[in-house]
Amino acid sequence: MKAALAAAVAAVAAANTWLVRLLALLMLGVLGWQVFMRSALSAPPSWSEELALLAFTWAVLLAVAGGVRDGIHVRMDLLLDRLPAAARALMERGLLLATAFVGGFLAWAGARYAAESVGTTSAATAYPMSLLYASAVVCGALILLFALERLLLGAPDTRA
Amino acid sequence: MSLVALILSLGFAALVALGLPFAFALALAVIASLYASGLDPMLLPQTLVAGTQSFSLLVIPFFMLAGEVMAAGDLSRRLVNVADVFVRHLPGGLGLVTIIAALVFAAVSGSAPATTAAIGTVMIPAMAERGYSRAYATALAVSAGVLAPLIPPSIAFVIWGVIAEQSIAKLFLSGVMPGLLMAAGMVALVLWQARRGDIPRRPRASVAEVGQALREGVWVLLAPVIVLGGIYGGLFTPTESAVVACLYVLAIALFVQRSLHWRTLGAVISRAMATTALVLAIVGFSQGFGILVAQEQLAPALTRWLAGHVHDKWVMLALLNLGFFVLAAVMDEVAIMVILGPMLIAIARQYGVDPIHFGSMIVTNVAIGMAAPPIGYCLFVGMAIARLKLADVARSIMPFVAMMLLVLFLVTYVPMFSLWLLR
Repeated sequence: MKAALAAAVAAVAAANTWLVRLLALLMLGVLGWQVFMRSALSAPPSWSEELALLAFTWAVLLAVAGGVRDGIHVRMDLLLDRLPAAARALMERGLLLATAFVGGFLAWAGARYAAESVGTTSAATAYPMSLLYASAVVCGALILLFALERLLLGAPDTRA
Repeated sequence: MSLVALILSLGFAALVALGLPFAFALALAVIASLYASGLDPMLLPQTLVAGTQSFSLLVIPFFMLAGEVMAAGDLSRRLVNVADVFVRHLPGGLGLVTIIAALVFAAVSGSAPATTAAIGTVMIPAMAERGYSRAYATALAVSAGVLAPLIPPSIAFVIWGVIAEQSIAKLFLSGVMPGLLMAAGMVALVLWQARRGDIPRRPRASVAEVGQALREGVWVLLAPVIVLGGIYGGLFTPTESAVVACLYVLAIALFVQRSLHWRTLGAVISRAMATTALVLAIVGFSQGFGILVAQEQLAPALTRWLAGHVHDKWVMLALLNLGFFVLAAVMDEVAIMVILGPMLIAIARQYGVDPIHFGSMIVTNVAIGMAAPPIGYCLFVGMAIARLKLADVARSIMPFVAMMLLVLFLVTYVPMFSLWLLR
């Protein structure tokens, strides 16, 4: 059961990693096209900045969630380092619970926000604004998932 | 003090002290404050998303990616080779190579951790092999790496520009003199160390060696020309210059020098995005925090209190520098900038400090904080490369930190250093 759960979360994490990479390439391609059109043809596209920012928000929020799984978020561990091993392990569990709570809250509040924005669209490309705000929902859900994974299954091997 | 003010100050500080990552400590403090003040919980996702909807902040992933591509695509080694053939015969030759290579790398990447990692990976083992102590080599690579926030283009200046609503191009220029001054200080320390130590000097490079290094390095040497020339020639915005830098180094590494394989590109992008996420998690979650701090009127209250007690502008700036240095010993520098930014800006305005000069002073503090023990981010990057502990490197880096503090003194009290290129 534990192994199946770990495999499922690893698959979600792998999909998240690839999505972040694709979004980064999309940003690069779209803004590269903007630079070319503006400097070579003096005809910058009207949609490029908005699309790049949409991809940026999604890429960053997904990467923030991925950072929870990899345990890379910047923190101060001066106190943690001074605790005995058992107390430190207990404290780490508490911190993961707090992180999971933030993720759950973000997903819930983000879902309300995305639902409220249904029907509104962006200025230049008219994409639905709920698509932008859904990034907070997915980010929150992934933070919750990855924090719970570390809490229940231990730190995953992310070297690959 | 209201309950919300207590949560945002003491509550946040307690969460950080307990070891919760800064980004999530900010988020948790915001959540608790929202409940305490009866505000809508939607403020958290709303401000988080809004915090990432900034075209200026888009430079961060691209400069990070440019740095990662240069490191993975062997371009940083070629850069080191070019510097090496010109200065290796001088006393402290490899130390000088480290500083020059970091300066050029910083002029493309703008990221201190990326510069430390790229230059340190090549130079720390090379210096250790040639008789430098590993701790000294690490201290030098870390110090050279933190030139990146001052040398344009700079991610730290972009973040400060967004917070302070100042021209990023002008802020970039304000870092040039402090950055070069810091580099000159490092050169002086390297020469002094070379005279004290017993490190053999290397022979002068032959014309053939110079020619080969230049042939191999010409493409990477053109990168800063394109990036900075593009910004100040009016061709690109800073964000567009980051995109051009990225596309340029990708083209060089993938097609011209074929030193980067398509198969490794995914991992390179992932590393760049992970580092971006570390910075933007703090920036994003601090947006809601900032709104609540503003609502509580904490910054104006503190500014009024300070104005009532400290009457001299220069004393105030000294206190701010001292405060930043002490805080950076326990807190991430980006977190300090984004959390305390509005308060710092209010203080600077109250005392009539030029906003660009003030930005230069703040980013000089950021650079020092990244190198200084106990939690300088670049220090940890250097320690990881050299496989040394903090105690090993802390002593070696102290002369460099002292020199940087001297530069900070000059930047603070001689505004011309920051504003000279803007006149």
